[in-house]
Amino acid sequence: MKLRYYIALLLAKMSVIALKITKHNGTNFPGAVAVKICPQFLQYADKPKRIIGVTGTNGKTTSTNLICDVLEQAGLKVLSNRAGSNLNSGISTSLINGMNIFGKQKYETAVFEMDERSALKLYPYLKPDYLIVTNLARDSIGRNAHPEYIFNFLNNALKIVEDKTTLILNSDDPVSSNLGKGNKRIFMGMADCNANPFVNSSPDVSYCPDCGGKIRYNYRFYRSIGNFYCEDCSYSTPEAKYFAEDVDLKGGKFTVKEGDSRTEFPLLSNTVFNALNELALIGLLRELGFENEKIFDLLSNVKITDTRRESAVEYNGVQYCVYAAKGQLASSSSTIFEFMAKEESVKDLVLCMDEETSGTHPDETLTWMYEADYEFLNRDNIHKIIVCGHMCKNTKLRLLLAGIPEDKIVTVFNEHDAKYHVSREGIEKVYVLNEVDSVRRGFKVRDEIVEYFKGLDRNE
Amino acid sequence: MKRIEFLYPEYCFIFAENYNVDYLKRSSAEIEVIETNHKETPKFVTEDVDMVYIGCLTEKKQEDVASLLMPYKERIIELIEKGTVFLVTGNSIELFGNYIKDKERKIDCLGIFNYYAERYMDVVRHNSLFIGEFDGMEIVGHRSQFSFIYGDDFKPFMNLTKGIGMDKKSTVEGVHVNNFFATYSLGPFLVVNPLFAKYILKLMDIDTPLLFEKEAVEAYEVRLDELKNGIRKEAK
Ligand SMILES: [Zn+2]
Repeated sequence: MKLRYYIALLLAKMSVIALKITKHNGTNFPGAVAVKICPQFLQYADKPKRIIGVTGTNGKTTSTNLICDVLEQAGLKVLSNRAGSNLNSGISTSLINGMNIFGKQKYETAVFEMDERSALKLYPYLKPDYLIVTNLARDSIGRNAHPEYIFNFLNNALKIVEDKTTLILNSDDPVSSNLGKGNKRIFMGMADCNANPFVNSSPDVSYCPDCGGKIRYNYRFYRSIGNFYCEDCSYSTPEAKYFAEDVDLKGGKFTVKEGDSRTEFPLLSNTVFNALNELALIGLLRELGFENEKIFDLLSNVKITDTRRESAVEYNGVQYCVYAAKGQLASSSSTIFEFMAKEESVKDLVLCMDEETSGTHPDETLTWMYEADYEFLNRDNIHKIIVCGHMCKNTKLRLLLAGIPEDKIVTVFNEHDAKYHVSREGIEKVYVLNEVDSVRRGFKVRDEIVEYFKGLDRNE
Repeated sequence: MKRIEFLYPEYCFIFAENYNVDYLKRSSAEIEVIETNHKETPKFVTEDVDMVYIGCLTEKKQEDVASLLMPYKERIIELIEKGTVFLVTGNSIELFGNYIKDKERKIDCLGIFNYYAERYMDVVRHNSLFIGEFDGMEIVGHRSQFSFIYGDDFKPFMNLTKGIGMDKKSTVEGVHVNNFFATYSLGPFLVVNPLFAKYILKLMDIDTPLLFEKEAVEAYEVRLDELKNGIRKEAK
């Protein structure tokens, strides 16, 4: 069996060299080759002594990047899959990259983003020392079904590593805070920061996992995340070891209470979502033995990357922005709609959130459209909504049911026709919301709008 | 007033199933919706209602609801025989069969219809779309599930012209007896199928147009055309 492993490693290593020569980086190919030849590759592979895993529905990538940046800032050599996939093949590729040709691991610390559905393929072999779970929310219906399913799936996988893996959990998530009762658990909590989130019509969780009673909140941060309790039993936000107080999103600082000590830290972003990601990072660093002063210094020197996923150009006093959205995902779509509503500028929205129409056959299960809160877009500052793509008529119906006046809605089957309908007056911004997997599409639509207006002005 | 009882809404709308009831209510001022939670005895037990709706559940809650409904089995049969409208969507359809098999476990269900379901939780979730025919109407369905129904001793809701039926080999989908309709299709089934929504309203003697009927029919026609002929870049 081990012979297979060495053959797999050798071929994978050779493929790394081949990819370098042909300038193909950041691919999962070497790992995919290794796993194909030796399905137990992850089990046999030499691994870093300390492995930190990051999982959860939203915020995995942001958190993984942040942890890597901070640990590198602290002088550690960190192996990670940030350039590749969060599946078995992506993590195997990272391990291969970290090994010398004799299969000896060169790194002592690894930070791996881990796909939830891959837990059973990853946890038993990687046996992470720490696993941060950001949250569990509505995700792809086709792959992840519903949050309770993912909860059970992760929980079963965690039983295998009960004596090894310490969980770092968001105490304000009614779903994920209940994970891993047999594992050592560190809870992170936060005081109310007047986030004033909108109420979602399809919440991620609505009833207590213990008794089925209604979940209620003392205060909420976003979606179903907040200081919760069950109406009928004692199920509630667990007591946090690290508790953030005096959260000043605008002023960019918060204080973390640990026992009797209180330490102020800079906030890396002005969103409550990232404050929670940063809090998990601080908890991890404390558990790894970093002093608070050191953590303060480290946080003063890093940035959260790619938080707003926004790119803007200005023409004639109007900002034309591209904003990555995850179409077909109710929770992230609702979050973006909430952002568009709260961002005060008067704007036109160009929705390019259809499944990528690479194939000719539709496979979209359109339930997500009704789980997502299009109602949030029913605001005065949303001036017009131009819906692009083959689902435009279905989206229009959804917008009408959400209460949006018909005269604000335009449908175009072909996204290249969007430019004919964008307002030229009475707005401050245009947002093109594009499917995150087809970023170029969003930029193309945005640039076409600007070019079209420039052309009109030249001909005047 | 026509009364629709929405059973266990706190459990039964994981994929926006609440839109089925909402859509009917918003279409007609004659409709009153009674939401019954899991702590309450359903209204239909002691009173006649015009329609009962139950939607999709998580696997755990599906088992809880099987136990909750068990004492009312005879009453449900009585109502079906009487012609009360039932709409059952998603995996709630399994509750009306004999049992659900999950590896070695057997979860007893109402046994009103002669079929059983089997779960395959370790297998990749099944996702597909289908087109079915019922009473001269074409019906669009969305499915995403871990389980299938086996047995052929029941009257199907639709004959399929595209997609798979109750199990992967079946060409029929759902159950239809008197005014009882059950389908595996998820989510806002009636919004996606406005013709069938009108049919349901007519069963309750309501003859008003649907809310945004023109747009709903247009969206339905585009969807149907896509499922038959593939995605078009331009409008027809
Ligand atoms: Zn409870």
